[in-house]
Amino acid sequence: MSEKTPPNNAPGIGVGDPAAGAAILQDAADITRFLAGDQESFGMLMKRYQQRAYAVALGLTGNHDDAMDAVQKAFLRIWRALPRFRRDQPFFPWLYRIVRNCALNQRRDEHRHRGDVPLDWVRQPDGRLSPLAETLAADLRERLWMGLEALPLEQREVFLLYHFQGLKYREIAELLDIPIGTVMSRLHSARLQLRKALGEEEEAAS
Amino acid sequence: MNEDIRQDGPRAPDRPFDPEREAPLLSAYVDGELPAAERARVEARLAADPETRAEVARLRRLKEVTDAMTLKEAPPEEWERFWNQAYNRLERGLAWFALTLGAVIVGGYALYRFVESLWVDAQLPWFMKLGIYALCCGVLLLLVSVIRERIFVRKRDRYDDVVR
Repeated sequence: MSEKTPPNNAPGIGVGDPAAGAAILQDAADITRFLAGDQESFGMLMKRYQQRAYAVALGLTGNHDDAMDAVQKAFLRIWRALPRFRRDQPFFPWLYRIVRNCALNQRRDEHRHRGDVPLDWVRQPDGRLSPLAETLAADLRERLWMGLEALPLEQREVFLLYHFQGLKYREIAELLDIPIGTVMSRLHSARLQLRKALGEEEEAAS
Repeated sequence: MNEDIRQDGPRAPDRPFDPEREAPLLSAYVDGELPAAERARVEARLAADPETRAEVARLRRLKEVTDAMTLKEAPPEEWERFWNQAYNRLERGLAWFALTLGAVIVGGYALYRFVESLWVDAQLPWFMKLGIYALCCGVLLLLVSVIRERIFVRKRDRYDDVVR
């Protein structure tokens, strides 16, 4: 089964992951330059994470405009709080918590109409749909999204982190500061709920 | 459902898998996230129990569906607009800060000079002077109280830069 990579192919947050180690160094270098007065470094740092931050916000707000607003507010908070960030730590978990809270505040404060379903089919390198996606019912995206929206926040968050941020169980546990068994339980509960939401349609995938 | 089905580390491999209590392990099995000992326990159960095999097959099918989907990305032109707005917002934040600071300094000094002029006015009755004195004390106490509260909250709130 093909494994999805996080948005922008950003590295995970795993300790010992060489890509994550390189990302920490690169992020720390940008932050150091920013704190020394080079404001362009902030833009470079955030542009590496913007799609990923957007995916976090979109998953929680369910709306493009709210997601963009939440990411913008989060980036302004990060601008102000960056001097307090510990540069020997991975940047994504810190950014995640800020974006998450801005997105939840946005969701609470704004009551915009739900726009288009923010899910898309994974496409092949040539841009075509995968053969599997072509066999699935056209409204499956909508039903999956409605199922996701109906999940309790803690289950939804774990589901989004696993499926759309490409994090491993241990990374999710570290990020949310919960035991790995809780990650497992929440993800499993989320899947059982989604299965109900999708009804028998998932059978089409078999 | 039990939230903490497995805190950390593998269980004894000889303990049989319990599909009722340990169902979340099936999801972890499908995701390839189980350590070897736990995987062996699940596989032993799968070999013996058709119902558990059917459940794993259902979980695999669901995973195939969710793996076929992704969250939409924001188009590049949106990001251009985003960054322009973000820098404007930041600039305005700094402008408001400077404006507020200036207003406090200028307003504070004007107030000080006004109160001073009243205080030295020999024509002013004593009860008015008492009123001015009480007003100044009240403002000062309120200011100290608010600042103290802010410092107290800041010291104890781990996420002061995160949640508001």
